[in-house]
Amino acid sequence: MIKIVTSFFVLMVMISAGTVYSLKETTERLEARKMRLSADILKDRAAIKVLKAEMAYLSQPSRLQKLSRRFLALTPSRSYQMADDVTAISGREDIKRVSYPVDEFPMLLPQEKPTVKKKKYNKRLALASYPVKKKRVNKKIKKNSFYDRISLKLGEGE
Amino acid sequence: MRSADLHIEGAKSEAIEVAKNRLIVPLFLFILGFSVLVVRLVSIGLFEDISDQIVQAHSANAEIVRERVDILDRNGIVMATNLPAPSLAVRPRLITDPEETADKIVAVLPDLNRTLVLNKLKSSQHFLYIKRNLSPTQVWNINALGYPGLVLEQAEKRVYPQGRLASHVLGYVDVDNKPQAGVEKFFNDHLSNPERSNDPLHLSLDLRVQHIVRQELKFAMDRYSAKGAAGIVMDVKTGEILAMTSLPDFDGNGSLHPNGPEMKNRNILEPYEMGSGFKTFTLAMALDSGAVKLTDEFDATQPLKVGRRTIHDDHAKNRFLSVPEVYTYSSNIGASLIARQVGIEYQKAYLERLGMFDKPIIELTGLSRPILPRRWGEIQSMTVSYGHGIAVTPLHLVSGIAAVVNGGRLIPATLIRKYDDLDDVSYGGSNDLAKFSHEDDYPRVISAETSRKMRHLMRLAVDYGSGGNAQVEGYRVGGKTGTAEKVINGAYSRKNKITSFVGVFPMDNPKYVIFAMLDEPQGREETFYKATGGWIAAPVVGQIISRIGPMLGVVPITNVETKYQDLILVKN
Repeated sequence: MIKIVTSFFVLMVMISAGTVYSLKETTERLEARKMRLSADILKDRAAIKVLKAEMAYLSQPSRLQKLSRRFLALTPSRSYQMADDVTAISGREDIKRVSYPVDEFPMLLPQEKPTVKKKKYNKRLALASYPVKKKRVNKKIKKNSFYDRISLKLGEGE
Repeated sequence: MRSADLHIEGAKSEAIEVAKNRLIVPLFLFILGFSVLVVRLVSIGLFEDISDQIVQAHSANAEIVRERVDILDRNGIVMATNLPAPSLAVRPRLITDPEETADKIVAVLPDLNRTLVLNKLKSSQHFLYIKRNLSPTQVWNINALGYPGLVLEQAEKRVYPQGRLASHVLGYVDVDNKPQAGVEKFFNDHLSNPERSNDPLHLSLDLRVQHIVRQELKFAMDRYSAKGAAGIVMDVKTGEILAMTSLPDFDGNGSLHPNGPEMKNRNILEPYEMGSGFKTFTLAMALDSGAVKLTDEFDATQPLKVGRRTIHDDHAKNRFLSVPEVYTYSSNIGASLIARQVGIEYQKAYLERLGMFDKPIIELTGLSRPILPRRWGEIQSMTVSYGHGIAVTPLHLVSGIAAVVNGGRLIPATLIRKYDDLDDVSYGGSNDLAKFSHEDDYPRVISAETSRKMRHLMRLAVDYGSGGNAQVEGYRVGGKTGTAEKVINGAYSRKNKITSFVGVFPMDNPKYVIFAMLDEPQGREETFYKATGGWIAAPVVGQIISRIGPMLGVVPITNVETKYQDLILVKN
């Protein structure tokens, strides 16, 4: 009887010792992995921070404005494109609204890209965002010799 | 079972009984002790975090700790951040061959002077900086040289990705990352606190609005050859500053000249005589006091003589003017007469309540006191009524106008985004903010009724008066022009003027105050060679409104009749 009980307990001790050992081993492995991961995360976070700064730099409003003017067929929205109510678009008065719109955002209607026209001041100032390009003086001509200038002039005349 | 077999008798048996009884006590103690341990074990296992776990969780959330906290605009766009930028230093005693080392360093960093580098390498000191803020490539190349005497010291550099935009608000830091001006200096406790490293500072500025204001002002400044310009956009309900620009400005990333003219923020640093913009306060004061009614008329048939001075009108009508006409046609005579009717003491108290006697309130350093008349007599009271003889900063004027139109509450200007928890609420799209702003918390300086009247008067000044160039399609803009002659060597100069326009929109439910000021603009052909607020500053404000209105989601309003139109007899 005693022998059975004793051997049972000895077995139990051995099993539990083994389990504890393997648990400890696993934990340490996980720990190391976690350290590696958090170091990576830290590194990535630092990189994200740099990228965010770069993004802010690249999305400077003045730069975006130039790019959008060059590449996009869209312009900034104007006041008449905004409507907070269906009646403002349809022109009808007797509209019954079934339900309220999902959000309260004013709607933006598409608009064609305008071309820059010179206008008299009393109508409207030239937009600061659409600067009139200055004519570049061709400095090369000035540096050329007298003969070259004459021939350029003759060339223009033709 | 076995104990039952044994049978001991007599004294022995008694002794064993006693021993057994005594054994119960330690047995009980042991059980008690172990059960305490078991309970503790179970409670730790079940209910408490293992301390290791806390460490782990913490390190998983660890963020890079920076010397200075980021500054973001109200939409979360980075305006100032810290980036790693190592410095190259040298320990001269570890350098064996200074000549060769200097050659190689100069090869990597071509902008350095070889002689200076050589002097540093040969120096007898322990530690010397050669160059700060190296780029990653340069760091790599220096490391590749492999000299033990060269030290790369981890350092951080304050970077302003937006360049010149909002440079006056942000301020700047010196080479040691010590703040020298602006928000950087005012919020230094927060910004330099390592524990708040991941708690960026949210400004109330909106970069898009800031850009538009700067662009329009720059455009006007170049066009009219002005010496400088300033502009503010402020939310009248919350006091948040959406844009604050002062031109010329500087780039916080570049080399700075701390005493250069570009370093001063005209919006807070320099008091100016604001001119007619001040008539807004005179009118509000008059209506509030009850001494003047809207239908009262004032004699502007001829220049007003007070003591040795004569007060003229710039746009003289030479007739009796009603109160709305005094404001609309910007009559100095009318404003003076109104001020006389109201009284000096009332005027002083009123302007003081509007904050005109103290430094402006905002989270910036270097605020300037207004320049008040030394003696406040009849003459001074009259000139102050049309904005001469008193010099305030643009921010004073904007805060005051905001109070006039927002229903009469003086809300201090702020550069910090209010309502942090409303990230998902579009602040301009609807009236969301109005729900959350506690206007009642602020002191009432003007009655609601007067504020309502003033809105209509400001609208009239744009409809019929000098501010016509500020009109914008789709929005009801109100405002007042101001043209003041600059004081040069103690005398007013006819040529050099400060022209300004303070506009409000939309007038039915004012949301934003827009201020634009140009310093010494020169008239051009299209302005008929006039350099007045109506011709130069008002169009700037008009342009700004037409661009920021849709951006901020202000819904355009179709016709609402302006009141008191019948009191205007002749359209200007």
